Amino acid sequence: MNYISDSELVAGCRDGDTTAFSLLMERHEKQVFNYFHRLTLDEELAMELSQELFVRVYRGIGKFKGNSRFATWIISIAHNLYCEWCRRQRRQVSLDAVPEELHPPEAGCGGRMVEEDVTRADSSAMVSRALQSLDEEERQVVVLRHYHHLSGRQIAMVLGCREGTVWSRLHYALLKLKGLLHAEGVTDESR
Amino acid sequence: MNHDERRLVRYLSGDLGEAERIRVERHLDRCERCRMKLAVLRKVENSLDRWPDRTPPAGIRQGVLARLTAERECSVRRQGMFPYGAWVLGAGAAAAALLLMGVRALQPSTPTPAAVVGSVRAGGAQDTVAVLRGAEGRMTVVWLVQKDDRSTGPDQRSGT
Repeated sequence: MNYISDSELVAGCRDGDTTAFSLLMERHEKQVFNYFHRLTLDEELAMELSQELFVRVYRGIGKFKGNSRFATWIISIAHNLYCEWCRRQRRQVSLDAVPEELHPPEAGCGGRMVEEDVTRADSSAMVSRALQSLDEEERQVVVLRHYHHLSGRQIAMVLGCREGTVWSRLHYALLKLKGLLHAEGVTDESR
Repeated sequence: MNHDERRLVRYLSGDLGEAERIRVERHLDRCERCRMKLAVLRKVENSLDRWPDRTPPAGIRQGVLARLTAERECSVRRQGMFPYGAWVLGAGAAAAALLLMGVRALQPSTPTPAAVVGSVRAGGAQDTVAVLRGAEGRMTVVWLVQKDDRSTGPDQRSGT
């Protein structure tokens, strides 16, 4: 069976082919959802953000010039959307000024929120908890590098910073994670 | 090469070019300290794999397509109210112009003066009056009105 490239599907989308767009979504849905989920730790919210992202992608498909991989372009939009969401959250929190104990801790943006249905014995939850302890910028670099396999240059493009900054942030993030994961007893000694 | 930890992270991430990678590996062969640092960083990186990707919940794509379809239908409905907007406007303007022209054509025209009367004098005959045009010395009789009100003009005779 012939593999249809992202570029071909994008061309189809520009011609109004919704089947092509559906295929593009199917291809990138997992990375997009996991990107949002790793940053928010909220499945429902990650789903909402994923949908909003794809709507934006469809509307702005004409802006994709093919200078980067389609996956990188999508992640750039996802990053902007996540930052927007963070800003909204911060505004809402400051406007509402509700006592902290009535609200769950803010997800992402330096906050810590761990799913209730995972136990401390779950190493997956421990890793996610450790990641939530990082600064927002460090966490973004780790997620984009480790889970989305973006190169230093691509991460710099997505985050709008210098490539050297990306490596510095990743370095500090790994050192912090070392302490956090060691404390959690997660550090992998087997590999 | 110095003990550049950022470079070790790049090496770990597979982000170095061939020449740079070889330089780092040569350094690692000689430097116990950097080997240990690299081992620690690698362990941390490997630990991150313990948080695997999740399968996205069903319905993301369907939700997006439903939303796009709804937006498209809404846009079509808006267009449906004025399906041929520009044509309707153009045709309306043309019809209004034609109507205006028709109304003007039906209106009685205001008589345009054929000439400005210079003076009215008694004509040559006893019962006639001459309507003259022009300045003194270059008078032209444009109308002769007789007593019984029957005009005989216009008469283009010149007179003094």
